[in-house]
Amino acid sequence: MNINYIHKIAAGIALTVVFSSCVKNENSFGYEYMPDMYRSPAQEAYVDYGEVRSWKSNDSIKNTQSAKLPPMGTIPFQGANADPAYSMPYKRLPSKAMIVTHSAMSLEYSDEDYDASALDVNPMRMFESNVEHGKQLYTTFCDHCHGEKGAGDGIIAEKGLIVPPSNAFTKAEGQMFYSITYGKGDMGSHASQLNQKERWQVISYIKSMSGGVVIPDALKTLEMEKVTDIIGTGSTVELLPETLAGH
Amino acid sequence: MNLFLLKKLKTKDLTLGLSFLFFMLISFSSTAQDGKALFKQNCAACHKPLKDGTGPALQGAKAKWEAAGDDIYAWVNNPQAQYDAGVESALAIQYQPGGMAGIGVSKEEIDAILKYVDEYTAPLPPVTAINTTANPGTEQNNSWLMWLIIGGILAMLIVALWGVRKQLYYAVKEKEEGKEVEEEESFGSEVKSWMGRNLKLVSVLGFVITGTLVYYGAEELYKVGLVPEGYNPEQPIAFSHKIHAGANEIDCQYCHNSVSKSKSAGIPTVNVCMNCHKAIGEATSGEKGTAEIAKIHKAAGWDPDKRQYTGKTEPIRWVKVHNMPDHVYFNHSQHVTVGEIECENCHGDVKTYTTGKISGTETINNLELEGKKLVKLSRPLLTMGWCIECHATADVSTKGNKYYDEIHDRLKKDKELYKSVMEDGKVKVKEFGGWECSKCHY
Repeated sequence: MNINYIHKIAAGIALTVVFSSCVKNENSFGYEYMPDMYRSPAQEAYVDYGEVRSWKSNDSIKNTQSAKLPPMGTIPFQGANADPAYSMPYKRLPSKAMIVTHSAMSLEYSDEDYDASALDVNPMRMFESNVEHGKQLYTTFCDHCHGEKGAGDGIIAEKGLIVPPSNAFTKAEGQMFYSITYGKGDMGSHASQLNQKERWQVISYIKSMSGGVVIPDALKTLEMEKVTDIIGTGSTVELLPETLAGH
Repeated sequence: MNLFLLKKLKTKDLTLGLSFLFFMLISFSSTAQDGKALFKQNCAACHKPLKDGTGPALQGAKAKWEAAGDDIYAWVNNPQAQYDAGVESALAIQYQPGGMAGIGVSKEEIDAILKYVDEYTAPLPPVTAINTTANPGTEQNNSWLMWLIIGGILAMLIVALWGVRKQLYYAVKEKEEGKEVEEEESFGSEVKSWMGRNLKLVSVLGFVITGTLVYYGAEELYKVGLVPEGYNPEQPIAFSHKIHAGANEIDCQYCHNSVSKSKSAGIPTVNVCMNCHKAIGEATSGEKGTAEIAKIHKAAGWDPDKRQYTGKTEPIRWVKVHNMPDHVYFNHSQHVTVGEIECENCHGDVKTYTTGKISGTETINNLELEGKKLVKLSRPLLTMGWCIECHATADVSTKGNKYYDEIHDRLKKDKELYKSVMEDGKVKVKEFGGWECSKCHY
């Protein structure tokens, strides 16, 4: 009789263990059938190397920062076919005040470069494909604040959370590039989200919104003069000879 | 009497209406409108009417300058000159000198702007921006089972202990009286005889209970090794996708911007948070949200009082939610940029979540999103069966992709292969080697 009771109690405890583990715990990743290499010992993004299950525990590197900034001045590798011109560091420097206002980290600083950047011209001609990609990027990265047409009436601006100036896009192309790269006023730097090529594409789209002439892709191989003949000289910045030099 | 009352009411209504009209006329007069537009155009990037931003709050600025006897118009158009001239009000401003460039507006325009700013009152917060009970059913559907089991085990323990007590009682009695006591009919044997009498009921009940236990047990055991549906770990910051991607309609890729270029979608870095939260230090949802934003400021090294970066940064320990085993290669850019698969097809309707969560195949199949075409699958989410099911059924959009033009040219040379691929008129990933082991395992 005694043994019978012990059996029953043991069965009860076993059942508790089995079924209480079925209960959903949102913090638990559940069971792994054999430690299934969820914690990778290989070089991967977002891996806690202290958590890798191996023959040796690695407590010293547990919970340390895995995502880090590359050393200052690093040039990103963007594939063998990428144009190196767009990987080189931006020639305009942030102003000294931007260290505290926009967390701008640089090897050198210059207070004149914002004004000087007005002279920079878009090195990517305003081809249809560039403008189209620029539009995609604009809807992802800009329009929730700057609004669909750039009037400063995006959803976040309408709620009064961040109000961009309604004339932000009347600035020179080079100044817009400067502001996307380092930030301006309440806007932070978008350099980590958009590479240089993409920044110019966004600016191409912005210029096309305010009447800049878009060049059809079919004319890509033509000389600058012929393009001007076909399109006309009505457009402003994008058809200056300097803009097209070397492209 | 009645008539008199009616008359009185009418005059009252009329005065009310008239005064309302008068008020409307004042508040929507043309100068106020101009002031708003001018403020937005020239000042709003740095200044707010009521709160300090990149520049100080502007409400009451005019009164302050006039009280000190200084010329605010000269300041607006050339701040540096006023500062250099040592004008008292200019020196009193706590912000860095020369931070503001001359704006270049006329005296009338400044008047309009300052009038708008002085009359400005904070807008009421939006009432129905966030739907708090989006999916009440999915949160805690297993808790009743837990209580049932705990109750059952407690009952079992009570019965067992009662039995033990009875045994001990007889043992003691036996010792005291020195002879064997005839046992009364025990509870156990009572139950047994009752069961014998109601054999039909007992067998049906037994069948049902055993069946249920086996069913749930098997279902739970089957989940071992699967990516757990509903995994929603606590994060260091209670970030809400509902507010950011839902109510504020920020694109997924604004924060997870490496998704189109890289293998991983990217946990946004703190500088991306600060693109907005430098200006937004207070949550509209209340104090809890504001405390969460303060955590971002701490991580970014942003001092909201001085409005400066201190340079003392601190990492945020996010918990990774969608974790693939190391032996499988998955590339986001391949699926998002080339495959044009919607985020929701694997991650569910994230706009209704707070922190990151693993969705389920069924939940995703039931989603209906405007303008988005989702592939419907049957296997459990993020398992290999699920991957290859999609590779075998989902159409590949080959339009405008030169890679597929090349494949098409090569295919045309082998007529039989071409025929077998294009039999159903559609192109699947499987037909380009999407079922090759080494595509994902190497």
